[in-house]
Amino acid sequence: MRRSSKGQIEMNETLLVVFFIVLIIAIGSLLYYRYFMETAKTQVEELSEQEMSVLLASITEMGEIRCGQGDCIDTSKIIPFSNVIKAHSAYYNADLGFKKITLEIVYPASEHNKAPCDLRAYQQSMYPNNCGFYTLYENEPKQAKKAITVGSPVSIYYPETDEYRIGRLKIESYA
Amino acid sequence: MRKGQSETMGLLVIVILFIVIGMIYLRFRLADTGNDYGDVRNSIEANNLLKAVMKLKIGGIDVNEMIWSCHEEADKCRILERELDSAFKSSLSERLNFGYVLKANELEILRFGECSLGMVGSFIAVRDGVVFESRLTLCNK
Repeated sequence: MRRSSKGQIEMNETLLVVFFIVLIIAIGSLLYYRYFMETAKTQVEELSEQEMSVLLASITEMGEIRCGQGDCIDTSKIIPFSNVIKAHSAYYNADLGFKKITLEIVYPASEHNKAPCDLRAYQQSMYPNNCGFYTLYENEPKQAKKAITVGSPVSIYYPETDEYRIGRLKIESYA
Repeated sequence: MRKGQSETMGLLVIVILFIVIGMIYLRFRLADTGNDYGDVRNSIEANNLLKAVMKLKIGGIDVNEMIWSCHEEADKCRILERELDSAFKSSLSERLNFGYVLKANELEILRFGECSLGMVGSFIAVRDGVVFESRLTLCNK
C-alpha cells in the first residue's frame, strides 16, 4: 500500500476515534446536566416543604386561634380570624404568598364533610355537624401549576359544645 | 515512531475517558445523601396525633378514662382498641401506617397496628400511682 494512503487511513481512524470520544463526553455531560437540574428541583421542593412545616407549627401556636389553655385550636376563633385575613388581604398575601390553609375535621368526621364551616354553617343549630372544613387563608394564582401539600393532625376544640375533635391542618403551596 | 505515537495517544484518550466516566459515577454516588426530613415530619405527626387523641371523648367517655378501664378490666381494652384504631386511621395521611402500644407501669396491656419500627410519639399520664405510657409508631406504607 502506498505510504500516503496508509497515513490517510490512520488519520481517518484517529479522527473517528476522537469523534466518538467527544460524542460520549457530550452525552455524559448532557445526562449529568439533566441529573443536576432534577436534584436542584428536588431540593427546592424539600426546602418549600420545610418552610411550610415551620409555617404549620407557627399557625397552631398563633394566639388568634389557639385555645386559652393546652395545645389545640379554638374553632370559635377561626371564622373571625379568617375575616381579618380577608379584610387585610394585601398584607397577608404579601406575607404568605400563594397558599391555601385549611382545617379539616377528621375524627369524628361530620356527615357533611364537604360543606365549608363558614358563618352560615356556624349560625345553624346543627353546627358543627353540618360542615367539614374551615378555610383560614386562600390565595390561589390564576394559573396554578402544582401544589405541594403538608399537613398535620391537631386537636380542635368547640367551646359551644365543650368537645374536642381531631382535625388536619393542611397547607397547599402553589408553584 | 508514528505508529507508536498514535497508539500512545489512543491509550491516553481511553484513560481520560475512564477518568471522566469515573467522575460522573462518583458524582451520582456521593450526591445521594438520603432524606432525614421525612422522619422529622413523621415524628411531629405522631406526637401531635397522640396529644389530640388523648383529649377526645368517645361515647361521652374520656380516652384517659377508657385507658384506666382497660388497665382494670381486659375486656374494656377491645373497645379502646376499636375506637383508637378508627381515630388513627381517619387522622393519618394516606402514606402512613401506625402501631400503638399502651403500657401500665412498664407492663404492656394493649398493642395493635402494623408498625413496630418507625418514628415514635409518646404520651405519659399518671393516675393513682400507675404510669400509663402510650406510644404511637408511624411508618411509611
